[in-house]
Amino acid sequence: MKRDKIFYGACILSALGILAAVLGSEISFIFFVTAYLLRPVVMEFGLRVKFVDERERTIHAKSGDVAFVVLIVAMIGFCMLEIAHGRRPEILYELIAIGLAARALTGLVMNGEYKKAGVMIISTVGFFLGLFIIMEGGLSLVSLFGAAVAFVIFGVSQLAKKFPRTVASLIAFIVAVTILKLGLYNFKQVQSALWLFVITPMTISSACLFLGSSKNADDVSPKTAYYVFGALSVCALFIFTMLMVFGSREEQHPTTFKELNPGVATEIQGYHVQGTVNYFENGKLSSCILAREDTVLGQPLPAGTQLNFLIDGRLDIVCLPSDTYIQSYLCKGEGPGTWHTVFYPNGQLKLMWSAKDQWIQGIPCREASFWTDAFGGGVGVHFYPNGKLMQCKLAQDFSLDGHFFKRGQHINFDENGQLVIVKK
Amino acid sequence: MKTNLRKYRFENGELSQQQLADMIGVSRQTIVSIEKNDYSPSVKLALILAKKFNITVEQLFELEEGDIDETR
Repeated sequence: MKRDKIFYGACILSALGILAAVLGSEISFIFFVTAYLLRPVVMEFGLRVKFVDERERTIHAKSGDVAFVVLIVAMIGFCMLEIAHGRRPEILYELIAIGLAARALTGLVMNGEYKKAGVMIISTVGFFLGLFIIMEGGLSLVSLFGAAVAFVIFGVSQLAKKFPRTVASLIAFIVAVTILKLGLYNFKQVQSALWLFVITPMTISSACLFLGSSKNADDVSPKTAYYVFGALSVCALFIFTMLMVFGSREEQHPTTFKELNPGVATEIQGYHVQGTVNYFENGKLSSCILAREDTVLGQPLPAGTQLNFLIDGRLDIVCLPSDTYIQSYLCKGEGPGTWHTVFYPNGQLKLMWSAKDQWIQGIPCREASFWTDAFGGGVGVHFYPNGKLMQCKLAQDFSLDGHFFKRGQHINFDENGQLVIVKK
Repeated sequence: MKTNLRKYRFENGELSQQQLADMIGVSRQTIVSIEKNDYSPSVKLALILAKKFNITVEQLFELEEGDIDETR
């Protein structure tokens, strides 16, 4: 082990981490991670080259590659598990995209062909933006408008080949206006995805086009590039810190938990519960587990059911301890934090995951499982407040009203039970 | 690529791997890897090593048959 200044710096950070851990602070984790990442960060930013053994640097780069692949594969695995348990892993999707985008952007920028990099970043943003808008919204008028905007962005990338400085100025202006008008005024108005996948890459593309627009673009010194991208990173850090501090305050409701006496049922806010109980800051229940069969919203639920509430006290999600018949349908349950069953305030089922292939209101609906949900769209069974079936995935080939549906296709109905044909 | 690092290390006062590593500011494992032909040093490190022994880089490292084909 090389005993240089970085080594001693990491030792100090680790010691602080241990101290924080002893004091019970979770900040210890940050100290340990910083200590571990100190050398690679110093190496990659070229701050103190004399402390870097070149072979060590090669090994760090290779192990970093392996770690990146492992992380992405692990996150894809976690995504599939989350989907299988009835949750949409938005954060994981974003993390995967951040990882891949960061690697691609870094590669493009480090290559040193700044103009080419700028053009490629803009065209990629345009392409993926259009693709995601169509995927999310289908072929509706709104999504077609969004796709048209994405197409314009793609067109701008082609213009950037001829007029890099003009396009760079235009993008810088639009980004600045967006940040000032929407971002700084109210961070919540701008989705984090927009920050991450449109504003950030477009800002980088603008910087690239500026750097690549000079006649001696090949002679841009690494120092200049470091200063430009360093300044951008500092700005990004500031904006994301503001976003995290101010952006999510209203959406996240911190909870506290209380461990109850094991094996003893306790009545809390009208429910007989056991195990761990979570509360919102306003004192209302956030989640609890039923100690015995209880009736919630007029629906008898078995012991072991996890109830999750909204901050205003309304029931949000129910996780059944095992497969259970609810309103005559066998709903999937595998305990707390697994398959979500959701009710409307009137007690009618809103969403359930079928525990077997079963006929629901005359429709053969497919069993929910890891595979049926992960591939080919969601496999949840959705209902209207009046109890009518809204949507399910078919368990077998099926014909209705002269329309033929293949197994695995989704079938949709309106509130009156009339078939709705979704055009693709 | 053939390396004569071990030979020159011994010819220059029987330097140990650790001593050489300390002199040029790399880890002992880097010297071990270069001598075992597991690692090709950068041009800069090759020049530093050559200068240390007052020889040319070509004397310290030699291309072997097949090395040129590998780069094609």
